[in-house]
Amino acid sequence: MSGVNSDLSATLKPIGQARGLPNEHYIDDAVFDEEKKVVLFDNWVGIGISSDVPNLGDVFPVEFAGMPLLVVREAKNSVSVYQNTCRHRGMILIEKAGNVRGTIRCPYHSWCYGLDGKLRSTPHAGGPGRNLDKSLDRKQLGLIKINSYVFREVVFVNISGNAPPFVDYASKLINRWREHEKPLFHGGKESSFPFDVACNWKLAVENYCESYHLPWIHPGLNSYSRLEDHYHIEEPGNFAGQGTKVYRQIEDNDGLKFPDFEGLSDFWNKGAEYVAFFPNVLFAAQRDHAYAIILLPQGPNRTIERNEIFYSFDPKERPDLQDLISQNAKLWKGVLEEDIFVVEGMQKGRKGVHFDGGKFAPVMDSPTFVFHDWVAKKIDQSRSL
Amino acid sequence: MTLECLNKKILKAHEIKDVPSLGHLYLKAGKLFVDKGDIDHACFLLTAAYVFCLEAGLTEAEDARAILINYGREE
Repeated sequence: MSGVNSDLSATLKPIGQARGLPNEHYIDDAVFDEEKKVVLFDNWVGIGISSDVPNLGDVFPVEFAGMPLLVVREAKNSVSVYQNTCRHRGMILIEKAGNVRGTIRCPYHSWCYGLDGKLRSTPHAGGPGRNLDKSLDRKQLGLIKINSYVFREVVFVNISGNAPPFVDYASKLINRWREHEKPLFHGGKESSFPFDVACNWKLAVENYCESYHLPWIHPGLNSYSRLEDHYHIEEPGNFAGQGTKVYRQIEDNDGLKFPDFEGLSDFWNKGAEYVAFFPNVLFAAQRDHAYAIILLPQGPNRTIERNEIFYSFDPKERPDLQDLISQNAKLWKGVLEEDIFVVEGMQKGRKGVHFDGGKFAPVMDSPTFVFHDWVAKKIDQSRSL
Repeated sequence: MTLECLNKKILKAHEIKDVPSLGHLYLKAGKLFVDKGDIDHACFLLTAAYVFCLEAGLTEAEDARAILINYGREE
């Protein structure tokens, strides 16, 4: 690709000799645009959660790496995603989340689309009071539908439309967490807390992949979850992360805990896993609650992180657990906030012109290397076309 | 309702973005012009009625559409 000159040869070496992705991949606009296409749009990316659109007719606009998208609750159990652009003059259709009672009306010339994306009306297109024109085939002018799939309540899209079906793309993670295929219920307002972070989105992935930083950045964990209680999770080309063998449930002063997901094997009594599903969703699977962190890139050096916590039960039906839900949200918010100075610090460090991408500590950094290797291979393959 | 009165109500509904009222009011206005025999202007108003009824999810959208189809202005 013209204008893009990053050298990936060191990143593509085995971990012992490799260096991390070069600085350009964190600070350069041209490389950001290249990654947008090859790493984000050509794969399945998380853009939101299904409870952004809880009711029929709810619409939720998302600008993903500059791409205007519209999440729509098209039917009770069905979420669709469209390009949020009118087929007429390219006007943005919906700018604020809300509920569409009938059709989506373009605010410019009032072309109307059903929740199914079909073009319903083209007012005055053939002259005042004449809504037809022989060149205007409404069947060909519906909203552009974006491939989408809801997994663990995260709305995924494949913007380019050229990735394998989601169930194939995610099959290894689906199989790994087969036992966790249970209904997830969002914890409510407090269980949703975004961070606006001054870093490239990949640094949040990289930090999430490894447990190496835990004793230094999250010292509170040392008392019950030591570094040696963790293990690597590596599925090259798909996901990477870490697991713990000493997960401890949160409980209140009276010993009240969250109910477990049903039917989990004994492993999950003390096991928990934290996986970065490439490219941009960070998942947690635990016996009694789950979370997803969706990374929304805003440019090379800014990312919105959406942190969303889910439970095995509908919180509206368990008022007795509301305090514990609040306590748990505060706990996770505190832990995840501890990582912000790290990812922002790594972003600042990448302005160092002599930084070479970084030497991996092979034993501890291998999940992070799996992510670098995936990104580098995606870009390298694209450049060689 | 007189046309003048309808016009005032339509302007007010636009001002407060009252979409269901816009659907109802434009439909009334359109039908008035059908009765007057000014079909072009009637269809102009009925088009607005159709759009706002669609947006509001009102069943009257089909009333407006039926008249427009009758005059070859909609499908």
